[in-house]
Amino acid sequence: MRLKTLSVLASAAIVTCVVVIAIFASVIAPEDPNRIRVKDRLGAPGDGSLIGRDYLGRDLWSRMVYGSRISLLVGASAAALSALGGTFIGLVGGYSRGRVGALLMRVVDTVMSFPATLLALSLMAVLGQRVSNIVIALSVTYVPRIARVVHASTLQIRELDYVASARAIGVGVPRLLLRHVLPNAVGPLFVQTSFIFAYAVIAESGLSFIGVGVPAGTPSWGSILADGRSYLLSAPWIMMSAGAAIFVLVLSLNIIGDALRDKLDPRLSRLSRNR
Amino acid sequence: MLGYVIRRVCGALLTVFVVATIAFTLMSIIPGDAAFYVLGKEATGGDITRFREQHGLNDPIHVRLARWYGGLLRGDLGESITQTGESVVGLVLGRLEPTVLLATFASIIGISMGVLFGVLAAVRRGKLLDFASMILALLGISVPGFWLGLNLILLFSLRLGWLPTAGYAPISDGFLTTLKYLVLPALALGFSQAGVIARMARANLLQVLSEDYMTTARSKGLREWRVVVVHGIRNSLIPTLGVIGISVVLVLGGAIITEVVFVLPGLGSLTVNAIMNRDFTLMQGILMFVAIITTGVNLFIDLLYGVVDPRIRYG
Amino acid sequence: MRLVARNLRWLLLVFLLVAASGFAVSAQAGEPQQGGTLVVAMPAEPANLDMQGSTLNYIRYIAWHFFETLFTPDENFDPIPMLASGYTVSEDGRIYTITLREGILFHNGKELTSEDAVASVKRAVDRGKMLGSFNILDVRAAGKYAMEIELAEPMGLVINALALSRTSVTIHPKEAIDEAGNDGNITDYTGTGPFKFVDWQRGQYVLLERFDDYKPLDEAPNGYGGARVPYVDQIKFMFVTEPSVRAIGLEAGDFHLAWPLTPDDRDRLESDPAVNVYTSAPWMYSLIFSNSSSGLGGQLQFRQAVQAAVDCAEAMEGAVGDPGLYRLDPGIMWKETAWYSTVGTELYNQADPARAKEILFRMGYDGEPVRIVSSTTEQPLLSIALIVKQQLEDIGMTVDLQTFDVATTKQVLLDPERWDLSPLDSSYRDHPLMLYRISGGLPIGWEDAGRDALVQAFWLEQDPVKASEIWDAIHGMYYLDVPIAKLGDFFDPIGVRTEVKGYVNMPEFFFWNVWLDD
Repeated sequence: MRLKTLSVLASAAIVTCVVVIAIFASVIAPEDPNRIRVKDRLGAPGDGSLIGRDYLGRDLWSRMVYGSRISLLVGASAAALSALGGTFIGLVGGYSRGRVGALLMRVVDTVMSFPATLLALSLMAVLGQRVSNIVIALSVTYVPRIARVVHASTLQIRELDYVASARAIGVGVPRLLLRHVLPNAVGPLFVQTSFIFAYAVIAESGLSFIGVGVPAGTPSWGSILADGRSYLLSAPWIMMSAGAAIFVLVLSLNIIGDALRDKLDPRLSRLSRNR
Repeated sequence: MLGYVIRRVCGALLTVFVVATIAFTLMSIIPGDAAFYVLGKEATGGDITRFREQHGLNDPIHVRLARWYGGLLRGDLGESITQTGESVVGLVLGRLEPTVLLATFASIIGISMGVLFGVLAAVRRGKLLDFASMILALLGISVPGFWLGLNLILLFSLRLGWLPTAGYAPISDGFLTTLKYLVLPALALGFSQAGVIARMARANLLQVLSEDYMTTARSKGLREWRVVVVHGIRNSLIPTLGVIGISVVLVLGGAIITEVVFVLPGLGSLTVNAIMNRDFTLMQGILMFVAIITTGVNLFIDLLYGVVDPRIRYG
Repeated sequence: MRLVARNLRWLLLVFLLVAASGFAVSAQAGEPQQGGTLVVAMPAEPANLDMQGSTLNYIRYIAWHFFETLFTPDENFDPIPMLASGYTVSEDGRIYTITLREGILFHNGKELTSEDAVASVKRAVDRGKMLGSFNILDVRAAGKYAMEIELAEPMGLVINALALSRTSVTIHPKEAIDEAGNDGNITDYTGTGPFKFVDWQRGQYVLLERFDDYKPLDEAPNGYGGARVPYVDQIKFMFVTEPSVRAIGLEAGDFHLAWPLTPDDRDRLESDPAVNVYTSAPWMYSLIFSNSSSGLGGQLQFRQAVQAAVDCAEAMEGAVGDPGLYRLDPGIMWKETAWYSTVGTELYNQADPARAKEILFRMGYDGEPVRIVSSTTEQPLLSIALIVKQQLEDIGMTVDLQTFDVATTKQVLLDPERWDLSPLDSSYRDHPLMLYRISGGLPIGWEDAGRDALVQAFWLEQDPVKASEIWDAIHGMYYLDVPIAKLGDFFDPIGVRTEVKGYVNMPEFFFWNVWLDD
């Protein structure tokens, strides 16, 4: 058990670090992340730059620091937006019996039958390459996941006594959903949202890798990874730094998500009581 | 039971229809078209006009929509714009083999590794093995697949020279040769799937193991392994099956980027190219194909659940 | 002692035999031999293999093994006869009579006659490109092995147009032309070339095999023409879109030729004894082109400011990297062609921020955003856009760099209201009239009556000396009006394994006269 606590603490520390770096990017980054210095292109780590330079001589460390903003922004926004949208759909879909609920969940299922990468790719092609559009495209692909989780919880909770009694005394539906149903669905919701944060960070890097992510030149961990593709052997530090950063952040987010699940998911919390 | 089947089938058909409409709409609002890709950047205005007329891109939208629906009803998904003269159905079927093989091998790796680690972790809960297995599983879902892929190429193809770099050899060239080309991509893809399955298998098995009937079985004096294997795993099978179903869809999605990195001529790379090059007919056709398959699989699983668990039928 | 001596004698004999056979083998290795499958790693898959329908080079490099033209460029880019045996021009310069070689067979055994040539040339005329912009009245047969092209007015460039690789007036059997119809593409890949089409596995490769009934010309190989002898049994063009995978495959021996290599792969492969890295000129050059029709780009002073600010050396070094792969050259036509000119080139590569700022000031520039449009994935274009953006910002311009995926970028560039500058790379032309900024293409609004008059005269001028003078004048206008700002020439490195013999270092590669030695 102690190892587990240790890993959760470490993950929390890492995420906090990244957040701090992102907030204070302008102070931490030694150079303008977009400043091209042709004479220094593909500079190795150490020579005047902390982790090396890319193919246009831009300082990788500065780009990584600013890139953390995009990764965090995209991750958090996509998670928040999906949570909002998914919760709304899941609550409504789960609570209302009959046509509305069924239709809503049918839509959710339809969207889920598109592979997420495909959907995101097409949406980006339509919407154009902006960070805000990445958030929208990714949120669309993740909303169904949250909707299903909230839907499942709502179905369960709807049958509980106190909800029935609240209904009997005439509490209005919105209030019912928000005050009584939602707080009990919050556990699994949080857990899913934390995972979506992690998925979104990877997804942004995937989209940038294919070339439909952030606008060219904007430093994001995904676009840096994509830039490094042609320099696998001659300048591996480009790919390594971005890949490692994504990996470490996502790992930390997943560990935190796991810990949340252990605490908040009512089914599993029973287990910790048994042993 | 019949009512259940009918409802499910109608639902599936409706889904397919909606997907068809969405696919068309998506393609009609994407900016740009395939003219410059096919004709080269020096194409003149006349070339472009001829090209657009040749592919019916200048027709009004309701005409194109009608053409699309009509074709669908006949089972004709049209001809590709960027691969002149090739029928979409032909192209999709032709590119199935690599994707299906990749997904199968990745799934085999993923499911076997995942179930193994998940069970081990659940059985040895709280011990080092649990922790180690779950870290491995976490690694699987945290590593960007394409990064893992590129590193695998670097190590096994370039540095060690054990495995080939690019491309693909069809089964007709010999199964072992095909395997050589698929080992690295299947590993890259399967690793993340293993992570997902391991975590789910662990959670499901843990839940089942804590159920009352398990305590009963133990108190009856049954040996632990028998308890776990016979009662535990069997009962966690259904939810795990569900996860496996989902993860197959995930693998198909992950195959897209894997195919791009490893240059496999499968459905995934076909899709990326179709979108990037604005091959509308091909894109619509692929979306339809995938939607029909996934809806079909979901329908099948739903019906299966209906058979296996009588409670669901009346729900 | 006797035993040793006897054994020694045997040993000597064996040694001599082995040495002799060794000599025999190495002597053979120097001569062309048939056999083997040549594997080529290409960067993209074409939509079709109809050379007449498109100017894309990766269609050409595959298709010109099975399709041929009436004339081909020699090493000086002058046209020499290929499927034709010669030509004559009428007194008034309006009728060209071209005679065909006899006994040339298509891959299906049919003999090439004027009906095939006429149908093929007619289709090329219909399809535009260079021939289409001549005023051609008629194309007709003049006997079994001769044809005539009749023009409305005398033109000097007809034979060039039939030879140039970019115009691709390939000769097909009449049946293939008829089958393609008016608007369709040619899908019957029967031709006269030294190799014939076998199979196309979409997404994987195109396979060709040697055409044993091919009759090479009597003349020695000369540029892209002359004798073409097919040696290898098969050529397999594989589509490998990932540059690093092309390089890795070349190193591993999976590919015999990989094109293009990235500049950094080239560095690594130079020291590999099993691989030769070739660069060949002319190839392409990078430039910034302005939307001269409206907005900022429509103002001469703005364009002059850009011309003054741009540091070509920095741009090319940043975009290409390896100095062996680019050169700073101001010519609008490539150095290796006969039309190279340097008129007006004092204005090239000024890299003078002070002067640029002064021009901006005089122009009254008020900070209006300069919109540069580029795609996200095309290199070196994106690097150039980023570098030039920085250079322009350093002289005080506000720059708005907009990037889109390739297809959307092309769409945006068609709308003059949406952009001011865009990077472009231009492939080499054999003749200035093929620069599409002169003969049509993307609308960039370089409207100028004076230039139009010069171009008109250029079209019709038959005397090469006078034509050269006209071209010089037009060349000067490029630098005075600045519709484009040329940055520099660059070259694509091609990696070829050493077991490929007979390979000639030309900018556009081909595999006739090439054999495998292994």
